[in-house]
Amino acid sequence: MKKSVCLKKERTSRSMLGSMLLALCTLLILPTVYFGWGPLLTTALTVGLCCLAELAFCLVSRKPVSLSDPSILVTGLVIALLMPVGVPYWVPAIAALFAVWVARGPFGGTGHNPFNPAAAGVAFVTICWPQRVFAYAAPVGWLPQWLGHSALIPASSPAAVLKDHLKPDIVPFEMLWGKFPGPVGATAMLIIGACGLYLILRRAANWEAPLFFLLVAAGIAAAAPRIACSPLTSVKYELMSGSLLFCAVFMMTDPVTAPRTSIGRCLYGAFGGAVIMAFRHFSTYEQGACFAVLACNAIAPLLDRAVLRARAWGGKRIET
Amino acid sequence: MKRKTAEKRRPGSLRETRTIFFNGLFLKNPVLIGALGLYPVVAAGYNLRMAVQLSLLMLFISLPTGVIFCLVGEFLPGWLRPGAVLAVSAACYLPAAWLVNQLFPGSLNTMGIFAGLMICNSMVLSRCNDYAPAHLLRAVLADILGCVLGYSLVLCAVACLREYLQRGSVWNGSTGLYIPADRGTALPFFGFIVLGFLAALVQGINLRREKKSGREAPRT
Repeated sequence: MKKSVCLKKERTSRSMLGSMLLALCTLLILPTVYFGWGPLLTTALTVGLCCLAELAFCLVSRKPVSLSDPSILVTGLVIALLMPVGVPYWVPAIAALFAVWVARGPFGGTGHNPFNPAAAGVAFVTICWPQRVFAYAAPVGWLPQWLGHSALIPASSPAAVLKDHLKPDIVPFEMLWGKFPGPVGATAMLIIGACGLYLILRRAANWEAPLFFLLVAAGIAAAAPRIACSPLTSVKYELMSGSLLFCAVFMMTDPVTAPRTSIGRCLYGAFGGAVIMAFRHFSTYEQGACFAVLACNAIAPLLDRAVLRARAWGGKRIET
Repeated sequence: MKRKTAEKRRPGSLRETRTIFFNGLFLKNPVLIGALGLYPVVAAGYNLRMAVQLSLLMLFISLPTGVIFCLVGEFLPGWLRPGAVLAVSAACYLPAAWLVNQLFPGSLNTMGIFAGLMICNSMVLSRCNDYAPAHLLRAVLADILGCVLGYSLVLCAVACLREYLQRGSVWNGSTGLYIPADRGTALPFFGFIVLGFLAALVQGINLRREKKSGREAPRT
């Protein structure tokens, strides 16, 4: 039987990851405009190192090397996008090696890792070298690469200002276009939002986890503002600062580490939103999105199990 | 009741004893699978010397306590046993602490409160209260040695990583490569994260073994 040409193409993990890669690459445009070639070089280094580390791991563990697997590129891109502009190259390099050799490879590689490898890598370097990971620079315009990192002007990110219970001195328009100090790819809210919509419409990402993640984070921000302001202003600053939105779109939607059931994903997102806000309120770090993602990953199988048990119990009750 | 106890106490082969030992060492590792005695690993295990001292203290406390409860545990009522384990463990602490202090002079001061807390370590309590009274001495010895060794390996591995990140050296032996890390690596938060990854890895290996052999993975 001939297949109709009007039928939608079947979704494969490769096509989903392809959409994810496209969305992540889009996030590199604005940082390149603001900071020059630096972000691209960091990305190239991280992605290349991730591929090499994966290759080395496959050779050592005598596993077949899959060159067509784009998930390793996603890991490298996410790590690079969560780093500040002037970060020394060894920081993302260590994050990439940790992601592949500790959080990905030993668990069986693609589709088997219980923790998001990029979140694990970034969390590791955040604990070890927080001064480097949170050393942000203000976007001043195109910087030729030969000027190096010395031309960057160090500045506090809105997340750090909020941590000090002060109001960030940034116009909302600049926040939307990412013209403020922060991680390379996690500042342009408009682009991240558009990428999120694109991924959901392409069905490359689920909508439950990011929606509930943002709803709960916004609810807590409104109920318990960290600065003296109206609840709406608090929600605006909390959602637009740090890497909260980036993690909601690109990490909470990871189909490998998120729960398989729809209700499980809703609970997963809600838990993540609560944890990230708890980190913002009580931790010493200005950003705890990666830690929140790891905490969520740890409970994902439990949520699935609880939902399936509840369904089985409900089914039995209906039968009786 | 007597028959049931006799069945439990039926002497096993050497292979069974070896299995008990290796279960404690890896597959049923008390920290990674049972989440027992977490505090020395996450809070106190920030350098190898400290980890070795705590491991020895754990061995010197749990071994005699386990042997005592293997011999007399069944004569004690269930409600009294946890308290008795704590009392015996506290009594064993004194010679154990003295011995560790002889091996590593000044170690008691270095370990501080963590040394005293070893008395009520949940691993000692679980092995001596639940396992020892119902099993043969050979099995109890294999279980305690396996568990203590498994515990010590995790403790020392986490301590090595943290010491290296902090000072670029492990037990005063410089490795040449050194990128000084933040003090945050010595805090329990980092210990929990590393422990989480190790626990997930062992669980993953157990699941893979379970799938391979087609039977249920060992659980504590």
